[in-house]
Amino acid sequence: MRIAWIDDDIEIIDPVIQPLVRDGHEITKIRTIRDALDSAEVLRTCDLILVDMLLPAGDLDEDFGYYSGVPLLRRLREEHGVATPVIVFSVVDPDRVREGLDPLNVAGYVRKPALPSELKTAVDAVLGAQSNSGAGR
Amino acid sequence: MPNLWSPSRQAQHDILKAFALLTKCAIGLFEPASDGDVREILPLEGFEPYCRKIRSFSEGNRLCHDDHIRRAKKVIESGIGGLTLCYAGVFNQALPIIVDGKVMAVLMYGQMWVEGDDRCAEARDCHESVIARLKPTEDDELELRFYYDEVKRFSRADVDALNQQLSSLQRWFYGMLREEQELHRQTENVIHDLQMRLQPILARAENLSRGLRQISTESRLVEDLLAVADELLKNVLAMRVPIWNLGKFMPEYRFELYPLGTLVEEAIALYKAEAERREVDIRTRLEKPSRIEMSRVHLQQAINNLLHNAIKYSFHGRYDLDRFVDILGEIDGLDYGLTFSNYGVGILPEEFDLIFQPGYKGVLTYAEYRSGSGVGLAITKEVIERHHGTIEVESVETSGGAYVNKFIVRLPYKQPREEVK
Repeated sequence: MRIAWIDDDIEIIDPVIQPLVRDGHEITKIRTIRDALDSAEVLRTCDLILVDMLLPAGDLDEDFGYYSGVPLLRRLREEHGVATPVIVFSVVDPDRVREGLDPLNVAGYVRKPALPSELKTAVDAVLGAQSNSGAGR
Repeated sequence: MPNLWSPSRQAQHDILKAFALLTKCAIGLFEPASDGDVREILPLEGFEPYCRKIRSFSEGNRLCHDDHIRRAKKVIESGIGGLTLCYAGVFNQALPIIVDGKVMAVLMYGQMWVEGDDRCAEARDCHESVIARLKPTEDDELELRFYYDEVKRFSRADVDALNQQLSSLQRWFYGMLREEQELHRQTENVIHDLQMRLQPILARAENLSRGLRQISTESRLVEDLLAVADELLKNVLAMRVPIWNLGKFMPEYRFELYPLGTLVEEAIALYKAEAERREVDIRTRLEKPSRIEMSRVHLQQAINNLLHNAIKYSFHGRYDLDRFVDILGEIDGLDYGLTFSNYGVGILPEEFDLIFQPGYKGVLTYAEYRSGSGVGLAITKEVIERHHGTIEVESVETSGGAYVNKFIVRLPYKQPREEVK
Protein backbone atom coordinates (compact mmCIF):
# COMPACT_ATOMS: atom_id res chain seq x y z
CA MET A 1 0.00 0.00 0.00
CA ARG A 2 1.09 3.56 -0.60
CA ILE A 3 1.27 5.84 2.40
CA ALA A 4 2.02 9.56 2.27
CA TRP A 5 3.66 10.98 5.39
CA ILE A 6 3.47 14.76 5.84
CA ASP A 7 5.83 15.85 8.64
CA ASP A 8 8.83 18.19 8.83
CA ASP A 9 10.65 15.99 11.39
CA ILE A 10 10.71 12.88 9.21
CA GLU A 11 14.46 12.41 9.19
CA ILE A 12 14.66 12.54 12.96
CA ILE A 13 11.71 10.30 13.80
CA ASP A 14 12.00 8.02 10.80
CA PRO A 15 12.51 4.82 12.88
CA VAL A 16 8.86 4.94 13.91
CA ILE A 17 7.74 3.84 10.45
CA GLN A 18 10.19 0.94 10.11
CA PRO A 19 7.54 -1.73 10.78
CA LEU A 20 5.43 -0.23 8.00
CA VAL A 21 8.38 -0.34 5.63
CA ARG A 22 9.06 -3.94 6.67
CA ASP A 23 5.43 -4.78 5.87
CA GLY A 24 6.09 -3.63 2.34
CA HIS A 25 4.29 -0.28 2.37
CA GLU A 26 5.69 2.39 0.09
CA ILE A 27 6.17 5.63 2.03
CA THR A 28 6.14 9.01 0.29
CA LYS A 29 7.65 11.70 2.49
CA ILE A 30 6.44 15.32 2.33
CA ARG A 31 7.87 18.00 4.57
CA THR A 32 6.03 21.29 4.09
CA ILE A 33 2.56 22.62 3.36
CA ARG A 34 3.78 23.90 0.02
CA ASP A 35 5.07 20.46 -0.93
CA ALA A 36 1.82 18.82 0.21
CA LEU A 37 -0.30 21.13 -1.91
CA ASP A 38 1.98 20.60 -4.89
CA SER A 39 1.63 16.84 -4.38
CA ALA A 40 -2.19 16.78 -4.30
CA GLU A 41 -2.29 14.40 -7.26
CA VAL A 42 -0.05 11.94 -5.42
CA LEU A 43 -2.09 12.32 -2.23
CA ARG A 44 -5.30 11.59 -4.12
CA THR A 45 -3.90 8.27 -5.31
CA CYS A 46 -2.35 7.12 -2.02
CA ASP A 47 -4.03 4.60 0.24
CA LEU A 48 -3.44 6.54 3.44
CA ILE A 49 -2.09 9.91 4.59
CA LEU A 50 -0.25 10.43 7.88
CA VAL A 51 -0.17 14.13 8.75
CA ASP A 52 1.29 16.24 11.55
CA MET A 53 -0.57 19.28 12.91
CA LEU A 54 2.52 21.48 13.18
CA LEU A 55 3.93 22.05 9.72
CA PRO A 56 6.06 24.76 8.15
CA ALA A 57 4.52 26.63 5.24
CA GLY A 58 7.58 26.19 3.04
CA ASP A 59 7.86 28.89 0.43
CA LEU A 60 4.26 30.04 0.74
CA ASP A 61 3.54 33.57 1.90
CA GLU A 62 0.28 32.66 3.64
CA ASP A 63 -0.24 32.38 7.37
CA PHE A 64 -1.67 28.94 8.15
CA GLY A 65 -1.87 29.55 11.87
CA TYR A 66 -0.29 27.53 14.65
CA TYR A 67 -2.05 24.20 13.98
CA SER A 68 -1.27 24.46 10.31
CA GLY A 69 -2.17 20.83 9.58
CA VAL A 70 -5.87 21.65 9.96
CA PRO A 71 -6.13 24.27 7.18
CA LEU A 72 -3.85 22.12 5.01
CA LEU A 73 -6.18 19.15 5.37
CA ARG A 74 -9.21 21.35 4.74
CA ARG A 75 -7.70 22.70 1.57
CA LEU A 76 -6.68 19.25 0.34
CA ARG A 77 -10.20 17.94 0.94
CA GLU A 78 -12.20 20.92 -0.33
CA GLU A 79 -10.07 22.44 -3.06
CA HIS A 80 -8.03 19.49 -4.33
CA GLY A 81 -10.56 16.69 -3.94
CA VAL A 82 -8.28 14.51 -1.81
CA ALA A 83 -10.58 11.90 -0.27
CA THR A 84 -7.78 9.60 0.95
CA PRO A 85 -8.16 8.32 4.54
CA VAL A 86 -6.11 10.35 7.00
CA ILE A 87 -4.49 9.49 10.32
CA VAL A 88 -3.26 12.50 12.27
CA PHE A 89 0.17 11.68 13.75
CA SER A 90 1.09 14.58 15.98
CA VAL A 91 2.26 15.67 19.40
CA VAL A 92 -0.71 18.06 19.63
CA ASP A 93 -3.44 17.27 22.15
CA PRO A 94 -6.43 16.18 20.02
CA ASP A 95 -8.76 18.42 22.05
CA ARG A 96 -6.90 21.44 20.66
CA VAL A 97 -7.70 20.58 17.05
CA ARG A 98 -10.93 18.62 17.48
CA GLU A 99 -13.20 21.40 16.30
CA GLY A 100 -11.19 22.00 13.13
CA LEU A 101 -10.77 18.31 12.30
CA ASP A 102 -14.37 17.24 12.93
CA PRO A 103 -15.69 18.03 9.44
CA LEU A 104 -12.61 16.64 7.68
CA ASN A 105 -13.29 12.92 8.01
CA VAL A 106 -10.17 11.93 9.91
CA ALA A 107 -9.91 8.16 10.35
CA GLY A 108 -7.61 8.11 13.36
CA TYR A 109 -5.38 10.11 15.71
CA VAL A 110 -2.07 8.79 17.03
CA ARG A 111 -0.35 11.00 19.50
CA LYS A 112 3.44 11.33 19.43
CA PRO A 113 5.62 9.97 20.77
CA ALA A 114 4.31 6.59 19.77
CA LEU A 115 5.87 3.18 19.62
CA PRO A 116 6.24 1.88 16.08
CA SER A 117 3.81 -0.90 16.98
CA GLU A 118 1.15 1.65 18.02
CA LEU A 119 1.43 3.48 14.72
CA LYS A 120 1.37 0.20 12.79
CA THR A 121 -1.78 -0.90 14.65
CA ALA A 122 -3.56 2.33 13.74
CA VAL A 123 -2.44 2.12 10.11
CA ASP A 124 -3.43 -1.54 9.81
CA ALA A 125 -6.85 -0.76 11.28
CA VAL A 126 -7.56 1.97 8.76
CA LEU A 127 -6.14 0.12 5.75
CA GLY A 128 -7.93 -3.04 6.84
CA ALA A 129 -11.23 -1.22 7.17
CA GLN A 130 -10.68 0.32 3.77
CA SER A 131 -10.03 -3.07 2.16
CA ASN A 132 -13.08 -4.60 3.81
CA SER A 133 -15.33 -1.85 2.64
CA GLY A 134 -13.89 -2.10 -0.84
CA ALA A 135 -13.49 1.67 -0.79
CA GLY A 136 -11.72 2.95 -3.85
CA ARG A 137 -10.01 6.18 -4.56
CA MET B 1 -15.95 13.90 18.33
CA PRO B 2 -17.75 15.42 21.39
CA ASN B 3 -17.59 19.19 21.94
CA LEU B 4 -15.65 19.76 25.14
CA TRP B 5 -15.58 22.99 27.13
CA SER B 6 -12.47 23.97 29.05
CA PRO B 7 -12.86 24.98 32.72
CA SER B 8 -12.15 28.60 31.75
CA ARG B 9 -14.90 28.61 29.18
CA GLN B 10 -17.29 27.04 31.68
CA ALA B 11 -16.38 29.76 34.22
CA GLN B 12 -17.11 32.46 31.65
CA HIS B 13 -20.44 30.83 30.86
CA ASP B 14 -21.37 30.65 34.57
CA ILE B 15 -20.44 34.30 35.19
CA LEU B 16 -22.61 35.46 32.31
CA LYS B 17 -25.50 33.31 33.47
CA ALA B 18 -25.18 34.83 36.96
CA PHE B 19 -25.28 38.28 35.40
CA ALA B 20 -28.44 37.35 33.51
CA LEU B 21 -30.14 36.07 36.66
CA LEU B 22 -29.23 39.14 38.72
CA THR B 23 -30.18 41.75 36.14
CA LYS B 24 -32.99 39.80 34.50
CA CYS B 25 -31.30 40.69 31.20
CA ALA B 26 -30.83 38.01 28.60
CA ILE B 27 -27.21 37.82 27.59
CA GLY B 28 -25.49 36.35 24.55
CA LEU B 29 -21.83 35.93 23.56
CA PHE B 30 -20.58 35.77 19.98
CA GLU B 31 -17.02 35.24 18.73
CA PRO B 32 -15.44 35.60 15.31
CA ALA B 33 -14.95 32.20 13.66
CA SER B 34 -11.82 31.31 11.67
CA ASP B 35 -13.78 31.25 8.38
CA GLY B 36 -15.04 34.83 8.80
CA ASP B 37 -18.43 33.80 10.16
CA VAL B 38 -19.75 34.30 13.69
CA ARG B 39 -19.83 31.62 16.36
CA GLU B 40 -22.55 31.66 19.02
CA ILE B 41 -20.84 30.79 22.30
CA LEU B 42 -23.90 31.69 24.32
CA PRO B 43 -27.08 32.34 22.32
CA LEU B 44 -29.14 35.39 23.26
CA GLU B 45 -32.24 33.48 24.20
CA GLY B 46 -35.66 34.71 25.11
CA PHE B 47 -35.63 35.83 28.75
CA GLU B 48 -38.11 38.65 28.84
CA PRO B 49 -41.70 37.26 28.57
CA TYR B 50 -42.31 39.47 25.53
CA CYS B 51 -39.28 38.01 23.73
CA ARG B 52 -40.18 34.47 24.74
CA LYS B 53 -43.61 35.01 23.27
CA ILE B 54 -42.13 36.36 20.01
CA ARG B 55 -39.86 33.32 19.82
CA SER B 56 -42.76 30.94 20.31
CA PHE B 57 -43.55 31.76 16.67
CA SER B 58 -41.15 29.91 14.37
CA GLU B 59 -40.72 32.98 12.18
CA GLY B 60 -40.15 35.09 15.25
CA ASN B 61 -37.47 32.67 16.45
CA ARG B 62 -35.72 32.78 13.09
CA LEU B 63 -35.87 36.56 12.84
CA CYS B 64 -34.43 36.96 16.36
CA HIS B 65 -31.57 34.56 15.66
CA ASP B 66 -30.68 36.15 12.31
CA ASP B 67 -30.91 39.63 13.82
CA HIS B 68 -28.42 38.75 16.58
CA ILE B 69 -25.94 37.07 14.23
CA ARG B 70 -26.09 39.96 11.79
CA ARG B 71 -25.55 42.51 14.53
CA ALA B 72 -22.69 40.53 16.06
CA LYS B 73 -20.99 40.30 12.68
CA LYS B 74 -21.32 44.03 12.14
CA VAL B 75 -19.82 44.82 15.53
CA ILE B 76 -16.94 42.38 14.98
CA GLU B 77 -16.15 44.02 11.63
CA SER B 78 -16.43 47.60 12.83
CA GLY B 79 -15.30 47.21 16.45
CA ILE B 80 -18.10 49.60 17.38
CA GLY B 81 -21.03 48.57 19.58
CA GLY B 82 -24.00 50.45 20.91
CA LEU B 83 -27.60 50.36 22.02
CA THR B 84 -29.83 49.24 19.19
CA LEU B 85 -33.48 48.63 18.64
CA CYS B 86 -34.43 45.14 17.51
CA TYR B 87 -37.05 44.46 14.87
CA ALA B 88 -39.60 43.61 17.62
CA GLY B 89 -39.22 46.94 19.44
CA VAL B 90 -36.95 46.16 22.42
CA PHE B 91 -33.48 47.54 23.10
CA ASN B 92 -30.29 45.44 23.14
CA GLN B 93 -26.78 46.57 23.96
CA ALA B 94 -23.89 45.22 21.85
CA LEU B 95 -20.45 45.43 23.52
CA PRO B 96 -17.30 44.58 21.57
CA ILE B 97 -14.64 43.03 23.82
CA ILE B 98 -11.32 44.32 22.52
CA VAL B 99 -7.95 42.95 23.72
CA ASP B 100 -4.70 44.29 22.23
CA GLY B 101 -6.64 46.01 19.47
CA LYS B 102 -8.44 42.85 18.38
CA VAL B 103 -12.19 42.19 18.72
CA MET B 104 -12.25 38.91 20.67
CA ALA B 105 -16.01 38.73 21.13
CA VAL B 106 -19.28 40.61 21.16
CA LEU B 107 -21.42 40.57 24.26
CA MET B 108 -25.10 41.29 23.68
CA TYR B 109 -27.56 41.80 26.46
CA GLY B 110 -30.89 43.46 26.99
CA GLN B 111 -34.40 42.70 25.96
CA MET B 112 -35.17 45.97 27.77
CA TRP B 113 -36.84 49.33 27.46
CA VAL B 114 -34.54 52.31 27.91
CA GLU B 115 -36.32 55.32 29.44
CA GLY B 116 -35.94 58.60 27.64
CA ASP B 117 -34.26 57.14 24.56
CA ASP B 118 -34.97 59.07 21.34
CA ARG B 119 -36.14 55.92 19.67
CA CYS B 120 -39.02 55.09 22.02
CA ALA B 121 -41.65 56.09 19.46
CA GLU B 122 -39.84 54.09 16.80
CA ALA B 123 -39.75 51.13 19.22
CA ARG B 124 -43.54 51.13 19.45
CA ASP B 125 -43.78 51.22 15.67
CA CYS B 126 -41.54 48.13 15.51
CA HIS B 127 -43.79 46.39 18.01
CA GLU B 128 -46.86 47.11 15.85
CA SER B 129 -45.01 45.90 12.74
CA VAL B 130 -44.04 42.60 14.26
CA ILE B 131 -47.59 41.93 15.35
CA ALA B 132 -48.76 42.56 11.80
CA ARG B 133 -46.05 40.28 10.46
CA LEU B 134 -46.55 37.33 12.81
CA LYS B 135 -50.37 37.38 12.43
CA PRO B 136 -51.06 36.08 15.96
CA THR B 137 -54.41 34.85 17.20
CA GLU B 138 -56.48 37.33 19.19
CA ASP B 139 -55.31 35.83 22.47
CA ASP B 140 -51.70 35.82 21.39
CA GLU B 141 -51.97 39.43 20.27
CA LEU B 142 -53.35 40.42 23.67
CA GLU B 143 -50.48 38.63 25.37
CA LEU B 144 -47.90 40.26 23.12
CA ARG B 145 -49.27 43.75 23.84
CA PHE B 146 -49.47 43.06 27.57
CA TYR B 147 -45.93 41.68 27.75
CA TYR B 148 -44.56 44.55 25.71
CA ASP B 149 -45.87 47.09 28.19
CA GLU B 150 -44.25 45.05 30.96
CA VAL B 151 -40.75 44.91 29.41
CA LYS B 152 -38.30 45.83 32.16
CA ARG B 153 -37.20 49.43 32.24
CA PHE B 154 -33.64 50.72 32.48
CA SER B 155 -32.31 54.25 32.47
CA ARG B 156 -29.43 55.25 30.21
CA ALA B 157 -27.24 55.60 33.29
CA ASP B 158 -28.08 52.00 34.29
CA VAL B 159 -27.00 50.77 30.87
CA ASP B 160 -23.76 52.74 30.94
CA ALA B 161 -22.89 51.33 34.37
CA LEU B 162 -23.60 47.77 33.23
CA ASN B 163 -21.49 48.29 30.11
CA GLN B 164 -18.52 49.41 32.15
CA GLN B 165 -18.63 46.43 34.49
CA LEU B 166 -19.21 43.88 31.77
CA SER B 167 -16.47 45.25 29.50
CA SER B 168 -13.95 45.17 32.29
CA LEU B 169 -14.88 41.63 33.28
CA GLN B 170 -14.80 40.28 29.77
CA ARG B 171 -11.54 42.01 28.85
CA TRP B 172 -10.00 40.33 31.88
CA PHE B 173 -11.39 36.97 30.80
CA TYR B 174 -10.13 37.18 27.22
CA GLY B 175 -6.76 38.45 28.35
CA MET B 176 -6.54 35.41 30.60
CA LEU B 177 -7.69 33.14 27.77
CA ARG B 178 -4.89 34.44 25.55
CA GLU B 179 -2.31 33.86 28.27
CA GLU B 180 -3.67 30.38 28.76
CA GLN B 181 -3.43 29.68 25.04
CA GLU B 182 0.12 31.02 24.95
CA LEU B 183 1.07 28.81 27.89
CA HIS B 184 -0.47 25.82 26.14
CA ARG B 185 1.56 26.60 23.04
CA GLN B 186 4.77 26.93 25.01
CA THR B 187 4.03 23.60 26.65
CA GLU B 188 3.31 22.04 23.30
CA ASN B 189 6.61 23.39 21.97
CA VAL B 190 8.42 21.76 24.89
CA ILE B 191 6.62 18.49 24.32
CA HIS B 192 7.30 18.74 20.60
CA ASP B 193 11.03 19.12 21.19
CA LEU B 194 11.04 16.34 23.76
CA GLN B 195 9.20 13.92 21.52
CA MET B 196 11.54 14.75 18.67
CA ARG B 197 14.43 13.58 20.81
CA LEU B 198 12.70 10.65 22.40
CA GLN B 199 10.67 9.39 19.45
CA PRO B 200 13.67 7.94 17.58
CA ILE B 201 15.01 6.43 20.82
CA LEU B 202 11.67 4.80 21.61
CA ALA B 203 11.28 3.65 18.03
CA ARG B 204 14.81 2.22 17.77
CA ALA B 205 14.43 0.58 21.17
CA GLU B 206 11.25 -1.22 20.18
CA ASN B 207 12.58 -2.11 16.73
CA LEU B 208 15.76 -3.44 18.36
CA SER B 209 14.00 -5.39 21.09
CA ARG B 210 11.76 -7.08 18.53
CA GLY B 211 14.87 -8.15 16.60
CA LEU B 212 16.52 -9.82 19.59
CA ARG B 213 16.11 -13.55 19.81
CA GLN B 214 17.09 -14.06 23.43
CA ILE B 215 16.66 -12.09 26.60
CA SER B 216 20.03 -10.46 27.08
CA THR B 217 21.61 -7.56 28.89
CA GLU B 218 21.02 -5.34 25.88
CA SER B 219 17.34 -6.26 25.85
CA ARG B 220 16.96 -5.39 29.53
CA LEU B 221 18.70 -2.07 28.97
CA VAL B 222 16.31 -1.34 26.13
CA GLU B 223 13.33 -2.13 28.32
CA ASP B 224 14.70 0.08 31.14
CA LEU B 225 15.23 2.92 28.69
CA LEU B 226 11.68 2.57 27.37
CA ALA B 227 10.30 2.62 30.91
CA VAL B 228 12.23 5.78 31.88
CA ALA B 229 11.33 7.60 28.68
CA ASP B 230 7.70 6.59 28.97
CA GLU B 231 7.52 7.79 32.60
CA LEU B 232 9.12 11.12 31.75
CA LEU B 233 6.80 11.72 28.86
CA LYS B 234 3.69 10.75 30.80
CA ASN B 235 4.59 13.28 33.50
CA VAL B 236 5.19 16.06 31.01
CA LEU B 237 2.13 15.27 28.96
CA ALA B 238 0.01 15.20 32.10
CA MET B 239 1.57 18.59 32.99
CA ARG B 240 2.64 17.20 36.36
CA VAL B 241 6.18 18.43 35.72
CA PRO B 242 6.48 22.21 35.62
CA ILE B 243 8.03 23.06 32.30
CA TRP B 244 11.07 24.64 33.86
CA ASN B 245 11.74 21.77 36.23
CA LEU B 246 12.67 19.12 33.70
CA GLY B 247 16.20 19.18 35.13
CA LYS B 248 15.15 16.92 38.00
CA PHE B 249 14.95 14.07 35.50
CA MET B 250 18.58 14.57 34.46
CA PRO B 251 21.22 12.41 36.16
CA GLU B 252 23.68 13.71 38.76
CA TYR B 253 26.69 15.69 37.59
CA ARG B 254 29.76 13.41 37.35
CA PHE B 255 32.99 15.01 36.24
CA GLU B 256 35.62 13.18 34.21
CA LEU B 257 38.29 14.01 31.66
CA TYR B 258 36.86 13.78 28.14
CA PRO B 259 37.52 15.40 24.75
CA LEU B 260 35.13 18.24 23.93
CA GLY B 261 35.78 17.52 20.26
CA THR B 262 34.06 14.14 20.62
CA LEU B 263 30.93 15.79 22.00
CA VAL B 264 30.94 18.12 19.00
CA GLU B 265 31.25 15.16 16.64
CA GLU B 266 28.36 13.37 18.40
CA ALA B 267 26.18 16.46 18.04
CA ILE B 268 27.03 16.78 14.35
CA ALA B 269 26.13 13.11 13.80
CA LEU B 270 22.79 13.61 15.57
CA TYR B 271 21.77 16.60 13.48
CA LYS B 272 23.48 15.68 10.22
CA ALA B 273 20.23 14.66 8.51
CA GLU B 274 18.44 17.84 9.53
CA ALA B 275 21.38 19.97 8.41
CA GLU B 276 21.34 18.25 5.02
CA ARG B 277 17.62 18.74 4.68
CA ARG B 278 18.01 22.44 5.47
CA GLU B 279 21.08 22.60 3.18
CA VAL B 280 23.22 23.96 5.99
CA ASP B 281 26.96 23.31 5.85
CA ILE B 282 28.54 22.43 9.18
CA ARG B 283 32.25 23.37 9.30
CA THR B 284 34.53 22.66 12.25
CA ARG B 285 38.01 23.73 13.28
CA LEU B 286 38.92 22.42 16.70
CA GLU B 287 42.33 22.99 18.28
CA LYS B 288 43.78 20.17 20.31
CA PRO B 289 43.95 19.19 23.06
CA SER B 290 40.25 19.60 23.79
CA ARG B 291 40.18 17.16 26.70
CA ILE B 292 38.56 18.93 29.65
CA GLU B 293 36.96 17.92 32.92
CA MET B 294 33.26 17.68 32.27
CA SER B 295 29.99 16.00 33.18
CA ARG B 296 29.62 14.33 29.83
CA VAL B 297 25.88 13.77 29.58
CA HIS B 298 25.08 17.35 30.60
CA LEU B 299 27.64 19.04 28.38
CA GLN B 300 26.56 16.86 25.46
CA GLN B 301 23.02 18.20 25.92
CA ALA B 302 24.32 21.77 25.98
CA ILE B 303 26.37 21.32 22.80
CA ASN B 304 23.44 19.55 21.11
CA ASN B 305 21.23 22.55 21.94
CA LEU B 306 23.73 25.07 20.58
CA LEU B 307 24.28 23.16 17.35
CA HIS B 308 20.60 22.42 16.83
CA ASN B 309 19.70 26.09 17.35
CA ALA B 310 22.39 27.15 14.92
CA ILE B 311 21.01 24.78 12.28
CA LYS B 312 17.36 25.57 13.01
CA TYR B 313 17.82 29.32 12.83
CA SER B 314 19.88 29.25 9.67
CA PHE B 315 18.11 30.48 6.61
CA HIS B 316 16.95 27.97 4.07
CA GLY B 317 14.35 27.74 1.36
CA ARG B 318 13.78 31.10 -0.24
CA TYR B 319 17.17 32.59 0.59
CA ASP B 320 19.81 32.07 -2.07
CA LEU B 321 22.66 32.61 0.34
CA ASP B 322 25.36 30.48 1.87
CA ARG B 323 23.93 28.65 4.80
CA PHE B 324 26.52 27.53 7.29
CA VAL B 325 27.30 26.73 10.88
CA ASP B 326 30.92 27.19 11.94
CA ILE B 327 32.19 25.52 15.10
CA LEU B 328 35.52 26.91 16.22
CA GLY B 329 37.47 25.46 19.16
CA GLU B 330 40.44 27.41 20.53
CA ILE B 331 42.78 27.03 23.47
CA ASP B 332 42.57 30.19 25.59
CA GLY B 333 44.99 29.92 28.50
CA LEU B 334 43.40 27.75 31.18
CA ASP B 335 40.12 27.64 29.27
CA TYR B 336 38.86 26.09 26.07
CA GLY B 337 36.75 28.38 23.90
CA LEU B 338 34.02 26.93 21.70
CA THR B 339 32.19 29.27 19.32
CA PHE B 340 29.08 28.37 17.30
CA SER B 341 28.49 30.79 14.43
CA ASN B 342 25.65 30.76 11.98
CA TYR B 343 24.10 32.95 9.32
CA GLY B 344 20.37 33.43 9.67
CA VAL B 345 17.68 34.60 12.08
CA GLY B 346 19.16 37.23 14.37
CA ILE B 347 18.93 38.22 18.02
CA LEU B 348 18.28 41.84 18.97
CA PRO B 349 20.81 43.46 21.35
CA GLU B 350 18.17 43.98 24.03
CA GLU B 351 17.57 40.23 24.02
CA PHE B 352 21.16 39.11 24.63
CA ASP B 353 20.41 38.34 28.29
CA LEU B 354 16.71 37.51 27.81
CA ILE B 355 17.30 34.57 25.48
CA PHE B 356 18.84 32.57 28.31
CA GLN B 357 15.66 32.84 30.36
CA PRO B 358 13.31 29.82 30.35
CA GLY B 359 10.46 30.19 27.90
CA TYR B 360 11.84 33.24 26.10
CA LYS B 361 11.80 33.07 22.32
CA GLY B 362 13.57 35.70 20.24
CA VAL B 363 11.45 38.42 18.68
CA LEU B 364 12.84 37.80 15.21
CA THR B 365 11.99 34.08 15.33
CA TYR B 366 8.31 34.94 14.99
CA ALA B 367 8.90 36.31 11.51
CA GLU B 368 10.00 32.85 10.40
CA TYR B 369 8.32 29.57 11.20
CA ARG B 370 10.57 27.95 13.80
CA SER B 371 9.56 25.37 16.39
CA GLY B 372 11.25 25.63 19.75
CA SER B 373 10.42 25.30 23.40
CA GLY B 374 12.35 28.30 24.71
CA VAL B 375 14.05 26.12 27.36
CA GLY B 376 17.11 24.94 25.38
CA LEU B 377 19.32 27.97 26.01
CA ALA B 378 18.24 28.21 29.64
CA ILE B 379 19.36 24.62 30.18
CA THR B 380 22.56 25.24 28.18
CA LYS B 381 23.51 28.24 30.30
CA GLU B 382 22.79 26.34 33.49
CA VAL B 383 25.04 23.46 32.39
CA ILE B 384 27.89 25.76 31.34
CA GLU B 385 27.75 27.72 34.57
CA ARG B 386 27.71 24.46 36.49
CA HIS B 387 30.98 23.73 34.70
CA HIS B 388 32.26 27.09 35.96
CA GLY B 389 32.21 28.36 32.37
CA THR B 390 30.63 31.32 30.58
CA ILE B 391 28.42 31.79 27.54
CA GLU B 392 27.94 34.99 25.56
CA VAL B 393 26.08 35.88 22.40
CA GLU B 394 26.85 38.23 19.52
CA SER B 395 24.49 39.00 16.67
CA VAL B 396 25.40 41.42 13.89
CA GLU B 397 23.01 42.38 11.12
CA THR B 398 24.30 42.15 7.57
CA SER B 399 22.64 42.94 4.29
CA GLY B 400 19.20 41.54 3.42
CA GLY B 401 18.03 41.17 7.01
CA ALA B 402 20.32 38.24 7.81
CA TYR B 403 22.46 38.15 10.90
CA VAL B 404 25.77 36.54 11.75
CA ASN B 405 25.27 35.05 15.19
CA LYS B 406 27.88 33.72 17.58
CA PHE B 407 27.44 31.78 20.78
CA ILE B 408 30.82 31.91 22.57
CA VAL B 409 31.36 29.33 25.28
CA ARG B 410 34.39 29.26 27.60
CA LEU B 411 35.03 26.18 29.71
CA PRO B 412 37.91 25.66 32.12
CA TYR B 413 40.17 22.69 31.47
CA LYS B 414 40.03 21.81 35.14
CA GLN B 415 37.16 21.98 37.58
CA PRO B 416 37.56 22.98 41.26
CA ARG B 417 38.73 19.93 43.23
CA GLU B 418 35.46 19.57 45.14
CA GLU B 419 33.57 18.88 41.85
CA VAL B 420 35.78 16.03 40.70
CA LYS B 421 35.45 12.74 42.56
